[in-house]
Amino acid sequence: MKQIIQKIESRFEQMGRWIHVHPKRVILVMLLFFAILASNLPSIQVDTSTEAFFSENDQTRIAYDKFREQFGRDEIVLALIHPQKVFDIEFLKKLKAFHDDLEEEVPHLDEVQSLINVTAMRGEGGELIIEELMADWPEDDAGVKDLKERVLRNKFYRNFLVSEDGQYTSVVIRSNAFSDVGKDMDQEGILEEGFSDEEDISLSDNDNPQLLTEEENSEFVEAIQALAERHRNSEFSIDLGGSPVMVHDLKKAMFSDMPVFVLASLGVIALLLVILFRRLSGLVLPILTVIFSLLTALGLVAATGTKMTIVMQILPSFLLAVGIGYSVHLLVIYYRHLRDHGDKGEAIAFAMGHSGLAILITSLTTAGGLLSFVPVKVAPVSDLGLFGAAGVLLCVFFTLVLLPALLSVLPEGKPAVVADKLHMQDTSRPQLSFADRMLKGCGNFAVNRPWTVIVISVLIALMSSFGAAQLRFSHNPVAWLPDDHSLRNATDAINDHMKGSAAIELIVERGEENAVKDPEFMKRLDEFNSFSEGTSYNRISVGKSSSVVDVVKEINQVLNEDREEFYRVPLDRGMIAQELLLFENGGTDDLENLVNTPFSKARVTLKTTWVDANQYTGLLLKLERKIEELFGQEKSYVVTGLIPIMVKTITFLMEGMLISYLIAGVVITLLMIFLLADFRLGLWSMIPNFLPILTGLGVMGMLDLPLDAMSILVGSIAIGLAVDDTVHFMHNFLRNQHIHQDVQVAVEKTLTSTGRAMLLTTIVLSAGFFIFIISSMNNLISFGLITGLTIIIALFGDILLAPAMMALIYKKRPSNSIKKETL
Amino acid sequence: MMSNKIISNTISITIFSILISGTTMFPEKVFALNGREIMEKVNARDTGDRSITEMEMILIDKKGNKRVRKLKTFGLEKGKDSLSLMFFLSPADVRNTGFLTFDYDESGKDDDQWLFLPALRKTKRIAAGDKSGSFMGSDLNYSDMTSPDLNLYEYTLMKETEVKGQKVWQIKSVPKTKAEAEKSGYSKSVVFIRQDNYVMIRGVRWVHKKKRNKYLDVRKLEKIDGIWVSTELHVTTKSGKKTLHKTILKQKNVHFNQDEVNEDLFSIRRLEKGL
Repeated sequence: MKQIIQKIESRFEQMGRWIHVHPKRVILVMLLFFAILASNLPSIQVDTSTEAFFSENDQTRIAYDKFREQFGRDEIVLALIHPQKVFDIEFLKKLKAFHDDLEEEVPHLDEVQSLINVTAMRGEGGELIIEELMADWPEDDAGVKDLKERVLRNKFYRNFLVSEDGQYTSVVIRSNAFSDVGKDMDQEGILEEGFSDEEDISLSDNDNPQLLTEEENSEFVEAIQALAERHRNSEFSIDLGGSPVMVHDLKKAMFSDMPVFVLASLGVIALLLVILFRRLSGLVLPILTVIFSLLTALGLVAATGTKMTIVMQILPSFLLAVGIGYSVHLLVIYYRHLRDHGDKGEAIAFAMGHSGLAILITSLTTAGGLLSFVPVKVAPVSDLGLFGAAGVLLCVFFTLVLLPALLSVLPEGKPAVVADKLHMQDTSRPQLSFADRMLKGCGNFAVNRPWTVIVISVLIALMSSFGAAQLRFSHNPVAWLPDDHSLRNATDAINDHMKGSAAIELIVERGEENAVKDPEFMKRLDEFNSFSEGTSYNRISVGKSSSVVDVVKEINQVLNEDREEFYRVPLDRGMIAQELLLFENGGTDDLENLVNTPFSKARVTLKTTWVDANQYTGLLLKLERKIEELFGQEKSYVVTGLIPIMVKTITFLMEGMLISYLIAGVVITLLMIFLLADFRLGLWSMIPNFLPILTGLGVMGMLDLPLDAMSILVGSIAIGLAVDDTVHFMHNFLRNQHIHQDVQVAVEKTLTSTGRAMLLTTIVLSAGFFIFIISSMNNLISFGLITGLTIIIALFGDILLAPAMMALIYKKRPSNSIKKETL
Repeated sequence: MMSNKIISNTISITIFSILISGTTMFPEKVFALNGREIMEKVNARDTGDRSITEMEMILIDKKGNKRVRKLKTFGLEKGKDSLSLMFFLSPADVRNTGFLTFDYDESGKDDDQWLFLPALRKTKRIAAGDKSGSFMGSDLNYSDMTSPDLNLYEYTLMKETEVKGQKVWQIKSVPKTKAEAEKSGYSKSVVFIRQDNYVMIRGVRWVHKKKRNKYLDVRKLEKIDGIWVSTELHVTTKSGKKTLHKTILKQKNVHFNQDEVNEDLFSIRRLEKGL
């Protein structure tokens, strides 16, 4: 094993030499490679939707898309309005103005529904009237009172267009489900389009229509937000809620955050490089290398059509922080050799031979940690795993190929070299002598009092386990926005007054045409409606359950002189069919939302409050049991819609975390064993790696931070990075131990040489993660904090726990100590 | 003497020039009919009286699923008003459901409509001030089935063109008021009228407040008992290029001047009797 390692190291040295001889060629090829991939960047796409958490091949998503194709977009924007009095002529006029403006100005609009245009059915005398609720405006107080009574009495309007207490009203705005792209046709175009000579009745040109794009959604939401702003005043307060708004606001937050992250990362990195190297090349070259790597990686993302999601937004600053570490390790050795011996080519070769393998291995461990996410079924997490790993490998590739070439080509600034000659010792630079003393101090303490360190570590482990046991999974994209964000207030208000805007959708497929009209089936739909509206679990309840049976019952009542006892499902099938015919004739296309054209499928929409998806599992289980009981015998049924999708996301997160952490743990342990060429040592060396992760999770648990799509990444990312320090430590420790045969000396030598680079990369990496604290999104703030913390703890693991363990292990190995007397 | 001749010549030339220039500058007004006039003739066209027809309505959704409805219809012209009686023949669960409609010519007078549901064994009067509603779930509105009040629309003759080898006028019709647009359900229409028989052979309608269009296409036009009858009409609702829904309306066994079709037929009593 040791021979293999030595062979590889000498290969790296040769490579360094070769690059030094042909630098321009190398630079050209690398730039070409960069250009090819980075040229894809402009075509990069963003996706902050809820369904983006699923890959396109996932069953859950396919079912959801199919549902939307049939019934349109289930996601609505709800404008909640709280005037002094809803049932007031002046207010109603303002409402109409708002409603009309919405219809006029919002693009990609399917429909606007409010008290102004909602359908109302009533029987008057022998007459059946189907018209808009406000077809005749009330003219006096009595009229207003009458209107209020009619509205509050109606099951359909309650908790949808008006709150139960009548104090709030809402305007429901629905966008098209499908994309308009390429559909802007003028009069000529429309005239041309219409008439084909085919007798063919099939409408196959509609296969695979494209769903509404995120750009179109943003246009839709922004127009509504602008109108709300225009109409809003102290007497007409408007709260905008609903998932389309969430998707748009998250995207906006992401767009404003990402450039800031990248710039901040670059700023921090530049500062640290200046302090460390104090020369132009030491600042410019690493940054250049890492930027090339980043752009190439992003180009790869764009080229594969992968979308930038909320999770993926950490990729740029992550790669910057990680990539810099590789350059730093290489440059530290290079500059020192250059200072001591003056020959550039030799310095490059030496640095490559000395550090190349270690750098490569650290990149492999990081990539391995990231790749462990690929099997996770939550698409953005899986994508980050894949492209994060690719990015890391690209970074190391550029570092080991482009950087040496750039070093060869660029002239070295003399002044810095001269200044360096004045500081012959490693520990001479004033800023870092404190660091060296600290590192040395820790090392000595650990070697001399290993059991103290071990005991403290065990205590920390126990406390962390306790904290980690408190962790719970979560998925609530709305909560990712800041606490005072308008959408959060709106969501709470809508939950409180309209019993929510989120939905669970049940589609029952009977298979036969007109089978939905069967009275017995209608009765079961009715039973399900009643059951769901009474169902709650913990604090979640179903505010409203609607399906086609509501229409039938209402018509039945209206046709029978509005007598309440007729608000029921008719016994006769003919009656149901004729009532539905009447409804179809009434001018609304409401029926489209409730059944499919052949009347073989029925839809039930359960409206619920929007809370964290983790609170729905109990409710869904209850509902599913009843669904199976009532509809288990039907051809098929599917439960879909936003809530089930979010709950499924959590399930996938849980499964994914388990798998990913397991894979990462195993793969990295194997790598350590390979590198150290020793099975037991490899295993032991994982303890300083796992402990920081456990501690990070423990802190999360104690701070009541949830495990969501962002924070489950902490473990695998942190371990991939933390183990780098251990690799460097162990690699150098073993070498020093072999030479000096004295644990204390070996530790001291290791920590004062590689230790400085370890310290620096820890600072850079943790800074890179702490940058996320400035994010507009709560989940990113927590993620950045915890990951940064974990990395710092990992450093302490390597300068305290690892030496302590080595002291214990090597004191017990008589065969290793040739010179027993070191004291 | 000389001056008289000059004057009369001048006058002739002037008149002639005006006529000529009138022709080239305002062809519509001088030589041909304008939009409104054409539409008047379309409205005035004899669409037959005392008719009995079997109507087949095929409703097709965006996935190609079809629903078929069969009706028997009776029609009578009472002065300028049109009376119609329709019964469903199939599907079975709506058989004998009937519609009785009085379509009044008088401007501003709403139609009367009654609906008979056999299962309910009752007739209900339907307030149908709003004609923007769909006719039996098809792609046709009530406003498509009745003649418009010409005074409420602005008609413009766009050009003369050809449809299926026949010369037609292409006329744009726009409701004069927002109220009429809302009532009829359309904010604009372009219709193609055959020049030989004043039949509307094609039409494109812009649906009010929605980004949709309806395309009406008369696929079969037959002359029965001297009356031009659209025996097959295709109506397609599209949003841009995407078809949302389609209706095929066929008329079979069309007979006019039937003895049994008289005013007594168009009554609630007859409606409740069914077929």
